[in-house]
Amino acid sequence: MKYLTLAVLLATTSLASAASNESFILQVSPKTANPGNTAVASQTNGNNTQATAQFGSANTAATLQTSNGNPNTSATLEIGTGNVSLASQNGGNNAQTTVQVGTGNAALTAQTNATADTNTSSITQFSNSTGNTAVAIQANGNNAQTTLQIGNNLAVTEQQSPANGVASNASETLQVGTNVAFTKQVIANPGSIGTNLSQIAQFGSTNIAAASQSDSIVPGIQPMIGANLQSTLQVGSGNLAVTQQLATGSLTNASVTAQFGSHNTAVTVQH
Amino acid sequence: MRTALIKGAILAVLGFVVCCPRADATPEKVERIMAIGCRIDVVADHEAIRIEAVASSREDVSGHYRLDLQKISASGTSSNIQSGNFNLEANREEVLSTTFLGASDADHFQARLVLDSSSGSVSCVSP
Repeated sequence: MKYLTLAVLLATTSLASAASNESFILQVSPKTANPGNTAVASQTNGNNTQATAQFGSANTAATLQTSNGNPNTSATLEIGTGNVSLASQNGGNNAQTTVQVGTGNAALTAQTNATADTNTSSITQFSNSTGNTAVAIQANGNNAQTTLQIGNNLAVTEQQSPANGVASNASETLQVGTNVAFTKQVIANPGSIGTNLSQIAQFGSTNIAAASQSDSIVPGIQPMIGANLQSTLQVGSGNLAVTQQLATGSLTNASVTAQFGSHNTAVTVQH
Repeated sequence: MRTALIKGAILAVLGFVVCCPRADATPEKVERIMAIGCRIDVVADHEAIRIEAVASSREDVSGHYRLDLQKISASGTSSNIQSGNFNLEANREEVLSTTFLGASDADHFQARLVLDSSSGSVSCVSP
């Protein structure tokens, strides 16, 4: 059988009430066929649950979930080359997991909330040579992001807590190979007790880690009381670690940078 | 402000950098220790200060270095640790690692550089 496709499913569910939306997509194709698996799942207004698994090459998975406070849950697994994963979750307690194995992986996860509900995301990428890219954007919630990459890696994480309510940002990035990591965290509510917490660990050569943490300044409102906490670990040669922490009022800035190797450069700026 | 910063940086380089053999060195080691030297350079660089761990030796030598830098100021606390191996050629200096801090932190940090090599050990501090 030259072409083997176990399942190709376009799942779109939409319910007005808070019923459950469930979807599962599995696609398997031999790599010689290179058919390019594409899975699209769109779910609205329910307890949204979605899972996608793709094996082969040139896989693309898109998951779109919208809820009015009910959970959005999604998991995506892709094994092969040229994998692309797009996950968008809006309006619920959002949880997303992406695993990609192969070369040329790209994963984008975007999560938004209207309140201090939870945005949780995990991106894992394994590649033996070229190009893993992971982008995670989380807004208006209690944000938590974990990124693990093995290969030649680029990780971008941007988190912003809600303008109202109390929420924190937490990010962990672990990279092995030739790595670039950007993490930006903003506490948007100046009156909250929020925390920006970020950890970046890189193992390899020519690592670049850049972390920016800040609160917001709103005229007439007391600045936030919380902390910007950053730790960066780099093992290898030619490492560059940049940490920028901006705080107003009673906010605490604390940073730890550890570099092991040769020709390392660290930049730490706190205001 | 800039003048004060530059003045402080020059003082850091010229007046406050202390270089000495490590306390645990034996007399025999001291003779050899002096073949290797360390220095912490602090230089104003635009809106920052550049802190460099510098090693030199009168003979070819290899070893391990560690730079510990602690900064405590009103803007926050930071700890930078840089370490690794080095190979020095005779009569040449090498910058082993570099750390940048904000210009306003010029008077609020302490740095210590330790070199361990087959020729002995040496350490220096700034300020």
